[in-house]
Amino acid sequence: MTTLLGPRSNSPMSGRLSWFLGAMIAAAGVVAPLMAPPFTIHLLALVLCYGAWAMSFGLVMGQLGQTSFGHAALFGGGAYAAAWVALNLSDSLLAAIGAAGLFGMGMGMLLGIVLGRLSGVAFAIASLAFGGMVTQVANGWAEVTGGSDGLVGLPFPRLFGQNLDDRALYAVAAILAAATYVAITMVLRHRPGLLLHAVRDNPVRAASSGINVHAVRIVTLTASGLLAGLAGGVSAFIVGSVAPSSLDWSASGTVLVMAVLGGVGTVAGPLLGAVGYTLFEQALSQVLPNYRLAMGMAFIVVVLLAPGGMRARRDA
Amino acid sequence: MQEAALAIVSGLLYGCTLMLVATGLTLIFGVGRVVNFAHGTLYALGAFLGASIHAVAGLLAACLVAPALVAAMAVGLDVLIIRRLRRHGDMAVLLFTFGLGIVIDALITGIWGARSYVVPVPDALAGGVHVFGGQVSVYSIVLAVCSLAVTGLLVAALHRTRIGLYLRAAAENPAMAEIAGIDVDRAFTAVLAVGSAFAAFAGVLELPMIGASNGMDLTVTVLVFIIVIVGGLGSLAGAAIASLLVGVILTLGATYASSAAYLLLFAAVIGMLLIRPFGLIISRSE
Repeated sequence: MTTLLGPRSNSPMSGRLSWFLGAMIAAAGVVAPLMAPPFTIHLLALVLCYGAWAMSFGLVMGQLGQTSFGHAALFGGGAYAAAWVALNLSDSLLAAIGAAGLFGMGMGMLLGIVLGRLSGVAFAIASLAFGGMVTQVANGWAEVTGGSDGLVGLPFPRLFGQNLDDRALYAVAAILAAATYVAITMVLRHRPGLLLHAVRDNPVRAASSGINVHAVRIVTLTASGLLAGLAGGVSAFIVGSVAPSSLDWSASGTVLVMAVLGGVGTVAGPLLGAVGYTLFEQALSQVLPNYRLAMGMAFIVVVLLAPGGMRARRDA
Repeated sequence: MQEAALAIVSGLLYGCTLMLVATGLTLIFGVGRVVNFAHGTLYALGAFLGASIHAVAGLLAACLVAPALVAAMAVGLDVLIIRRLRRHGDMAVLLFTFGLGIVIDALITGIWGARSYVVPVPDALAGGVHVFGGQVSVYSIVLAVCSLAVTGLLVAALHRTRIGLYLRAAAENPAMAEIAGIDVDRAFTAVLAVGSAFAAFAGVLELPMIGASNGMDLTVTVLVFIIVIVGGLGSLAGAAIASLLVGVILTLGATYASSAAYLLLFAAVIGMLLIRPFGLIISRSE
């Protein structure tokens, strides 16, 4: 049993290091709002949302072995749901974020049901198409989504009768990121983690030993959609608006780049990637207008140096 | 009724342009086993190169030179990088081409700046044709004919020439083709070059219609990948049919359901994938 439940070779971040990281995140979550200037808090809150999103993406790419180019549809979908609720129904944070989580879940489940039979490059292409179509729906259905302008002018939400500001939203984002990290780590430590890795490492063998591969993919994408949707919902309030570009495949590509740069085989890697990417982007875009070139180059270098290190999947 | 007929005609014309991009992508995947996520960016690169060449030497020169430049670039990348990366699996190559797309896109912004380039329709091809109570521009018909002709040439070359035979052999069974004396590496390089040239050619041909601008590849990329999925990965016939279908669904949707055109396409594709998860026509090389 110890070999099954102990730290596995393919999740090197588990064990002491992961708890250290968790403690660091928690400490940062407490300390930063007390010290940092407003813009930094705003930026860090956004970074944590992206981090939670990137971890939910890492669950799908690194642990389930499905490389998705449609993950922005889950995150951006959550952002749209939260924004719509905030503008039309209620100023409660919980209502908006609850809607965001549910919507992300639904999108994830749809993605799993429709495309869960595909794997490898076929899934990558099909998920890109999925994200693209969701984007176009958001672009076209102006009555609900605001069309190409998106939904703008979100008020700060209320929680327990209090108006939340950037500092409070930072705390919400920090709690969300920590909860996402803990949830994914817990899942991977136990039986579901084994199922995921069995499906990732060899879908055919998993199927022949009685695992319902399609069901495992649907459930994982649904769970990932919940996490991504929640992160998207919080991010909508931090940014104050949602645009169709938050759904499209270049947004999906951004989270993929974050996760790959940080290390997609681990739970915390995508979080670190998101933090590094966003802060690097902030720093570079000041001095170097064409920072995307550097990002693309860095991504290519990682792909070339570690083509097998990103858990090269055999595309059966 | 006339309205529907007009929508179908312009949908078919639009589908023909998509076909050029989609068959290039399909060729690269079907024979070369490379999912080229930079394909849409190459389409944009073709348009920008074409706009610059047009300014110096005219549209015809742009049609010839821009695709040739993009093909040469593809050859270089294949020989230097993709050839080696291939043995790490399809996904490693896909991720590389995705990164490549980001880099090329950034280079386009760096070289041409964040502005649009407009190219006028050549005088000889200006004007329109009246069909079903509406009007279709002469240029869009020429564009569709060009696209069909080039796609037809490709299919003929694949099925009627010795080189085409080699390419199909390399696609069917690379190891066996290698034993039979075919240079499979060179075959893969060739299809990457030709497929990339197709994307660039489409970009140049579209110049008088939509010009060259940043982000022009975003929608095309999505549509082309939808087409490739619906048509069945690696099937040229499937891609051709799916291109026309997607073109018609989009224009019909735009005529009758205005904002919900993509919702219609979305529903159609999802329904399609639920019934036939591997596309309309399953390619033989699959």
